[in-house]
Amino acid sequence: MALGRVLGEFGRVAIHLLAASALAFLIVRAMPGDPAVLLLLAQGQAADPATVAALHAQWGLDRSLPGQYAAWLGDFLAGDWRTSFRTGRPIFEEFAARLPVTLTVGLGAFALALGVAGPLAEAAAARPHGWQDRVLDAATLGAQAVPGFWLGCVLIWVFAVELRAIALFEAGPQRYALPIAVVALAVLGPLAQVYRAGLREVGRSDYVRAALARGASRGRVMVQQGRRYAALGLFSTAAAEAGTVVGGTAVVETVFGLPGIGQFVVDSVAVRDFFVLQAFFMVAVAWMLLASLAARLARRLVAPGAF
Amino acid sequence: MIRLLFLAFLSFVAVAPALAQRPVVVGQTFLAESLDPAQGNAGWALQSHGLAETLFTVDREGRIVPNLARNVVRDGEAWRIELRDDVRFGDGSPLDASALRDAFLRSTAESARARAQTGRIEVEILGPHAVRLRTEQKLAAVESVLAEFPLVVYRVDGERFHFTGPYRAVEYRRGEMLRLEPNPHYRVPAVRPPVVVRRVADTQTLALGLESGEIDIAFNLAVETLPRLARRAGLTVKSTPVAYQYMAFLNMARAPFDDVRVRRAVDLAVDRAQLVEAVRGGEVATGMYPRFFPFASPDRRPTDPAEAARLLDAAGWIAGANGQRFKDGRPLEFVLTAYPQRPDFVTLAPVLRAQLERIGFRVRLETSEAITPQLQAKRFDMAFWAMHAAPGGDGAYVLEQYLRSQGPTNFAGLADPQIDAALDRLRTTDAPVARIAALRATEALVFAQAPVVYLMTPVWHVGLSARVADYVPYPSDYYIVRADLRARD
Repeated sequence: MALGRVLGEFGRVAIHLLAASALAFLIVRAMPGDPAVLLLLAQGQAADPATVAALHAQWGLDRSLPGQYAAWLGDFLAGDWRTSFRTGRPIFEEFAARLPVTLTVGLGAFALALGVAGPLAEAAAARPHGWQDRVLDAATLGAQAVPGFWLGCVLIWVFAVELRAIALFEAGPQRYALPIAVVALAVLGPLAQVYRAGLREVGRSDYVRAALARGASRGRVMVQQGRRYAALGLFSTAAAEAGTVVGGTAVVETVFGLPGIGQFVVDSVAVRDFFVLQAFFMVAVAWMLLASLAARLARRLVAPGAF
Repeated sequence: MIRLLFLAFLSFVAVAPALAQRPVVVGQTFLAESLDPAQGNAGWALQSHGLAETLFTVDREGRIVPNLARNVVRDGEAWRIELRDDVRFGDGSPLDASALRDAFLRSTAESARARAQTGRIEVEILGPHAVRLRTEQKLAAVESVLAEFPLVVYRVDGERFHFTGPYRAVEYRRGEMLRLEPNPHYRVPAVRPPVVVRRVADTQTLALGLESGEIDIAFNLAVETLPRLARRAGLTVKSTPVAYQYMAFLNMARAPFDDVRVRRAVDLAVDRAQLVEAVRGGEVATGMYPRFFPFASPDRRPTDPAEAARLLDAAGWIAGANGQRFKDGRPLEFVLTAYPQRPDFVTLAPVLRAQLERIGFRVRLETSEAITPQLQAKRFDMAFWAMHAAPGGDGAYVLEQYLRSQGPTNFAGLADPQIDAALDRLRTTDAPVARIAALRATEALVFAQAPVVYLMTPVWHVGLSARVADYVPYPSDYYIVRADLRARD
C-alpha cells in the first residue's frame, strides 16, 4: 500500500514535470526576438544572415519545433542541459556555480522568516490588538507596499554608506545579512498571518473555551492546543512561499551584487537564452513540487488522522 | 625615545606593504563571463579589464593605431602582418608568429563571432615576428578587423589563458569579481596598483558602493545619482562622450515616411540641443559618428522648423486651424517607439514629440520591451536606436549593416543604388585620407535620403574616489582598466 502511494507520488511528479517542460518550451519560444540576432547586436557584431544561420545550426534552432523540443527534453533528462548562448558554458555548471548564493539567500530568508513568524504570530494571537499584533500587521502591509529593490537600496545607504557598519562587497557571511533580511520580510507576512489566523480559529473552539473556563492562561492554551492545528495552514503557506527561494531572489541579487541564479536568469532573458530559461523553469517547477511534497509529508506527520 | 622610533619604524614596515597593495576597485555592470576569449563576448570584456589586447587598437581620438602589430600591408589577396618584438604574455613567454597563429586559428575555430569577422583563415609564418594572413572574406579595412575583440591575442596553457595586457588575473569568481595584478612582463614598465574588477549589476548600488568607499572607479553611473554624488566630499564624476550614438529610424515602407520630404522635415524639426539638455549631458549629433572620430561629419545637424514646414507643405500635408496637418483627409500622425533598456529614450520621447507636434505632426508614444525584433519585422513608424558607431575604429561597418539595401539590420528599408555604390567604393578604398573622404561622401547621400534621424552622442558618467581622481575615462567601454591606471597611495 505504502509502496503504491510512493509510486503514485512519483508518477504525479513525473507528469507535472513533463507538462512543465512543454509549457517552458512553448513560453520561451513564444517570446519575441531571435537569440542569434539579439546576441550579435548586443555585442556589436554583424547580424548578417549567414552568421545568424550558422548560430541557429550550432544551437539546433534550425530544426522543427517538435524536433527541437524532443531533442532538448532528451538531453535534459540525460543530464545535458546544453550550453548558454550568452556565456558559451554548460548551463548545468552555470547553475551549480550560482546555486549556493541563491540558496543561501533564499533558504536563509525562509528560515529567518519562519523563526520570526512563529513567536510573533503566537504573541499576536494571544493578545489581539496588542503591540505584537500591530507589528505583524504593519510588517505584512509594509512588505507588500515597499518594493524589495527600494528597501535594499535604503538598507545599503544606511548600513554601508552612512554607518559604514557593513562592507557591501566583502566576501563572508556578513555580506548576506541584508539580502536575507529583505527577502525574509517579504515572506514573513504571509507565514505569520496564516499561523495567527489558525491560532485564533483554535482560540474560538469549544475545548479552548473550556480550558480558559478552568482557569488556564489564554497564551498557554493557545500555544499548547493551537500549535498543531495552526501548523497545518503554515505548512501549506510555506510550500506556496517556497518559490521565493529559487525565483524570488533576483531583485536582491541584482541590488546587492550577488552572483546568484536569479541575476543570471535576468541577464539571459535579455538575449533570449532559450536553454537557460527552459532549464530555470524546470528547476523552479521541480523545487515547487518538492516543497509541496515536503508540506504534505509534514502535515501527515503533525496530524496523521487529518488526511 | 629611540625604542619608540624603532617600534614606529617596525609598525610602518609591517603596514606599508598592505597599504601599497590596496587594490583599485572598479565597479561596472559587466564582467567577463569566462577567461577564455573564444567564449561568448569574453574577448571584449577581457580587453576592457586590462588583460587582453589586439594587434591594432582605437585611440582616444577614434583612430586605429598599431598595438601588438608594427604594421599590416596588403600582400596580393592576403595581408602581411609584422609583430612588435618586445611583447610578452603574462607568463613571460614571448608573442611571436607561432603564438599569434595558434590564437587566431583557435578563435576562428571555436568562436562564431571570430569567424563572422573573417570567415575561415590561414596564417602562414614568414619569420619570428611576421605572418601572412589569408581570410575567406574579403577585407578592406583589415586594421579595423584586427582591432576587434574576437581576434584578441592570447596563449593557452592547459586550462589557463595568458594575455599581453598590463594586468594578469590572479583570482576570478564568475559573475562576481576579477582580481588583477600588474603584469611584470608588460612592455611599458611602471608601478601599477593591483585592481579588483567587481560586477555591480544595479547602477544605484554602484553609486552607493562609491559613496561607501568600497568602489574607486564606478563606471557608467545613472544620471539621477549624480547630484547626490556631487555633494559627497572626496568624490569626482567625470563625464565623457562615448562612441555610442543615439538615433531614430524612420520606416520608409510606411506612410508618411515613404515620402523623402516628410523624412527630411522630421530631420530638420528636431532641436538636438534640447535633447541633450533633457538627458543632462551629451553632444549634438553631426551624423552617424560621434564627433571625435576622424571620419565624422564636421557640422552639427541643422534645425530649421520653417524649412521643415515648407517641405511638409510641398508634400501636400496642409496645416488645419489647430496646427495639425492633413492630406486627403488623413492626419499626419505616427507612433514613436522607445525602449526601456535605454532609459534616456523614455526621457527623450516626449521632448521629440513636442518638437514634431509644433510643425503639425501628431505623435503617439509607445515603449517596446523587444525593440530589435520589432525593428527587424518593420513593425514601427519611427523608433529610437543606440549603437556603437565604429566598434573596430572604422566607420564603414555600421553603414554596411544599417544602410546598405541588403544590410542585415536595414531597419528603415533604405534601398538606394547611389548609397550602395558608395559603399562598394568604400570596400576597395584603403588609403586613410581617401577613406575618410569616401565615408563623408556616403554620409552626405544618407542625409539627403534621411532614413534615420541622428540625434546625439550621449555621455557616460564615471565616478572616482580621491585615490584615482586623475583617471581619465576613454570614450569606449573597451578600455576601462588600462596601462596608465595609477592610484594616489
